[in-house]
Amino acid sequence: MKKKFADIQTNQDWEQYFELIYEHYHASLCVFAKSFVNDIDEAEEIVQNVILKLWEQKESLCEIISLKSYLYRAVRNTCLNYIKHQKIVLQYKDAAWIKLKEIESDFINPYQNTELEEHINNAIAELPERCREVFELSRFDGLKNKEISAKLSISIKAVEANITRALSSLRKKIEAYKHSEQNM
Amino acid sequence: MNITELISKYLQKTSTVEENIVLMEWVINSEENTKEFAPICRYWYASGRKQEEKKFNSHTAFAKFKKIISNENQQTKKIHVLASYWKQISAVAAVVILFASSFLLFNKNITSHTIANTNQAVLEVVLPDSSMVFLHQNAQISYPSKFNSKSRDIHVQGHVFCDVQTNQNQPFLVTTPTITIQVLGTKFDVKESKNTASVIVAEGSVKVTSNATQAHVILNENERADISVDEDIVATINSDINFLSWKTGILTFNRTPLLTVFSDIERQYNCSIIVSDKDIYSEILTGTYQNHELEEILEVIAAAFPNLSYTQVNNTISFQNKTQ
Repeated sequence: MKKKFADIQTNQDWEQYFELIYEHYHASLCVFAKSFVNDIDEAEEIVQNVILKLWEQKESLCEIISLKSYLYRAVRNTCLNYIKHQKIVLQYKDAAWIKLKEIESDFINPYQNTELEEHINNAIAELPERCREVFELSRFDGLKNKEISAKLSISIKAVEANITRALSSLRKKIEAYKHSEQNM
Repeated sequence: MNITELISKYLQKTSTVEENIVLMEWVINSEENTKEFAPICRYWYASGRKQEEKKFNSHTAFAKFKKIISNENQQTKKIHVLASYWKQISAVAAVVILFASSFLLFNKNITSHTIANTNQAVLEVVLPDSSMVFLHQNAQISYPSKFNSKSRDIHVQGHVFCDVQTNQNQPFLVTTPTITIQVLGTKFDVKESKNTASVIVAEGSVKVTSNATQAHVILNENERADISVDEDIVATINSDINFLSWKTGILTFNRTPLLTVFSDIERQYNCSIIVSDKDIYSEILTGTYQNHELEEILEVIAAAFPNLSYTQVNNTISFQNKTQ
């Protein structure tokens, strides 16, 4: 893939170059942005603006050593800025939230990690049924807690509790997998 | 409540401000705690990644991208054309304006308010449509007791920040002696003084038009325009992360060179900072300071750079290398 990008760069066919960016990185960048801003449209707009900015500087693209890490870094910074501005203007004095987001941003691994995703899927499959159902509706179907509560006719508190339970069980299970792999 | 429950609520975005504070203090309390926070975040985001990617349509996005880049080339041309066209029709426009102002005189039910901020503290003004305008020292605003149904017009001078209520049917128009800003619903900073003005958009987008030449530009989030009379308006990316510090009291530095740090501090505290050696300017600082006294910030900087020391005489601070 790197070679593909490099080939086009020497030909200076920028439109084709950016089409490749959309093909390979757009969706994954959007998901990355959404983990910060929690709004699909906003996430898409941030990514769009980052790519547009890159377009404006396309002549200096050869100075960027890793396109992929540049894109993720730019999206991350734009999101953090967005969060800060949003909070300032809403007069929402939740500095703790911004601080947590900043810490968290180092842990949101933007790149695909097949191995980890496999572990996660296995661990989810092993969850108790109701717990798994709630977690899948939340993470896979993207439903809000309120929607899950209506769909399954359980209280919002129960939804929250099930998600907490799922997360804590995922953590234990995945750590156990990793441990057993290390010992193999 | 146990900590996993707190983290879980935070990731679901259902936690309260108080809960976030508890969690934050716990996370930064020790490396162990940070290590416990990390995997849960990681699993949360990784578990939904594949399904979430499907929600985004990269083809449509690329189509939009192509449209925007082809429009951009045309827009820059348009500004120039409009500017020259304006000069020809300005005579006609003067007559129209005369007519419009005489019409306004007959409309007596609406009274106009004028408020000026003579204090150092930021003054908050709530408009009839519940939009808010924050006035910096010496700034002034005029607005009607009731907006007319077609548009919301206000007049400002000096340095203000506007937080405008969204209303697609009733555009919000801000005029200053130099420029006119048209918005639909957004947040932006306006700094206007003798024949120059700058506009920085915090959220949404605005259209800025020069009163003198009618040249205009659209500004999006985190973009700025610096306008002086009879020059073209150009939008640039705003690199001034502390542009709202006058209102929020917060100064943020993120790998910022001291050159910028010092100029932000000078602006915020109305002081002047000099250095004995220009190399000092390239030192890098990261940190956030909220409502600190000037002396506290200076202490923090001196502590962050053991090779620097400073002396203060009234409002002038000088930094020097200790070895000198």
